[in-house]
Amino acid sequence: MISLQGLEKTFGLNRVLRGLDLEIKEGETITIMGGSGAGKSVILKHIVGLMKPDKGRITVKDVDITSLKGDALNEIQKQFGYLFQGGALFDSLTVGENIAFGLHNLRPDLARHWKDVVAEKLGLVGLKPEIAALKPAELSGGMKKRVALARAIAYEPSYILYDEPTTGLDPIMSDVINELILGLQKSLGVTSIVVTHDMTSAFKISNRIAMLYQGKIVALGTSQEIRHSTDPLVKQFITGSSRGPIQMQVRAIE
Amino acid sequence: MGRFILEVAESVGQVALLWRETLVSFVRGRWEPRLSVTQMAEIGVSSFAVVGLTSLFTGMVLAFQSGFSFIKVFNEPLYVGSVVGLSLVKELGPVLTSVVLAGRVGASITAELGTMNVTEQIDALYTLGTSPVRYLAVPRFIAMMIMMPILAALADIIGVIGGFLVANLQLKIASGVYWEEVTTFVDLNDVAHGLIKAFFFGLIIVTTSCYKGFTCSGGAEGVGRATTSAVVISMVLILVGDYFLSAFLVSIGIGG
Ligand SMILES: Nc1ncnc2c1ncn2[C@@H]1O[C@H](COP(=O)(O)OP(=O)(O)OP(=O)(O)O)[C@@H](O)[C@H]1O
Ligand SMILES: [Mg+2]
Repeated sequence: MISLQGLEKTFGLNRVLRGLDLEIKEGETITIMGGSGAGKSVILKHIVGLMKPDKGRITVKDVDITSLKGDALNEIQKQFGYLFQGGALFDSLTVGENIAFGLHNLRPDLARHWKDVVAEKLGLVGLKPEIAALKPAELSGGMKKRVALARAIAYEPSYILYDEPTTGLDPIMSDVINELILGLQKSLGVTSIVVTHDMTSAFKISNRIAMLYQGKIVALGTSQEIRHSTDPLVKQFITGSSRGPIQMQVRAIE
Repeated sequence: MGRFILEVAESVGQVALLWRETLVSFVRGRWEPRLSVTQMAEIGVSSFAVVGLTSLFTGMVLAFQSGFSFIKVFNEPLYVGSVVGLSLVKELGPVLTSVVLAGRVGASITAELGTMNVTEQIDALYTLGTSPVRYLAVPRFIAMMIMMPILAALADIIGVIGGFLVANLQLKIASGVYWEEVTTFVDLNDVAHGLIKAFFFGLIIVTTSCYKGFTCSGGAEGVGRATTSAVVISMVLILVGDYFLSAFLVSIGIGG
């Protein structure tokens, strides 16, 4: 179980998290939705210790990781796979080396057959094994995202954080990724935290959905509950309307 | 002003942390020799030609200037070999090499690490169980601190040869006389003085450029800014540090 208690995080004058509470159960897939810039990626970074909260506590399986550093934090991070929003592929390495990168440290047992692992994971994300020899710069945006996903799951972590896994993919490929996320949950019992704006995907893969607004979780429920929610915030978000309580800070062209 | 001092103090603290982590990784043997060798090859290949060219011409101009000045005073070009040898080995070899390396290698380290930083590749390293200091900084520290003295030594040799060309061909100094002057006035102590400084200049460059790369933010623009400031800071620290380092080395009897 991962538990976030009273997280606060401020960048300069920008109060991003304002006392956020959230519990993630073992084996569930939970989706965090919220407007652009609401702090979804910031939450994921707190969970793996890439960012430290100003206030609050983060525990993973009852271990308080809030102030862990160095090797102790590394031990916890080993259980996590992280799909970065921008992919974050190492551009000096090939696709294959990228995917195999974590194996050496995290799964020495798999490292010897790394080429097989690479081919297998590429298959899972709908890519051909031949692209293992390419450099990230030679890939399309959607392919980069999928390679990054392959890298995040290569060492079979028990928690996977997906930052917008289907953004930039065509609808069919998005569904391939949805099936992959569902499949990992079913076959390996993976706990997933997904950040997405793609409501089709969210309803398909999530056990629960949380809505982030103004630095707090303002709604939390099963997919069904969120889909039929009468909360105006939630309704506005899932129907994608610019009219409602959420005022985006964009000046309309008049 | 107060803020500036605070910022400097904070940077010094962070540099100390970077050094500590680098040293700890190194001592615990958690560094990959393969990565260091790659870095060394890259530094050598990218910089040797420029270092060679600048030191060749520096040696030439030293011989030219000292030769004609001495002709004015003594009517003959005395001591050209000793002037060229001593100034190159003690000062110009290490300083010029490190200025070239600050511009070439330092800038590229900051640009590379900075780009990795703003594209979250450094964060990705953490999540894949790899310490960025161990994987990125340690090999660059090792490579830089080994390559700097080597390149400075080559600069010394090429510069003295450049001086010889001008001395012999233009000033008509017999080759025996030139080499005699070089070898009697420059001893191993002077060479050590120069190479020890080169080693520390290497440390200055790699520390500044890694630090700037790891701490940069703000997209491509931020990477550009960090790169420029890494080069400027390295050069200033090298030239200022040179004086103090020289004074210190002389005071403990190395190259008086
Ligand atoms: N390292 C940082 N330094 C300063 N501000 C930051 C940093 N990271 C995030 N922020 C700020 O925190 C806020 C939330 O950012 P975050 O990336 O979490 O948004 P998000 O919810 O993931 O949005 P999107 O859907 O567009 O990805 C933004 O206003 C951003 O400017
Ligand atoms: Mg985001």
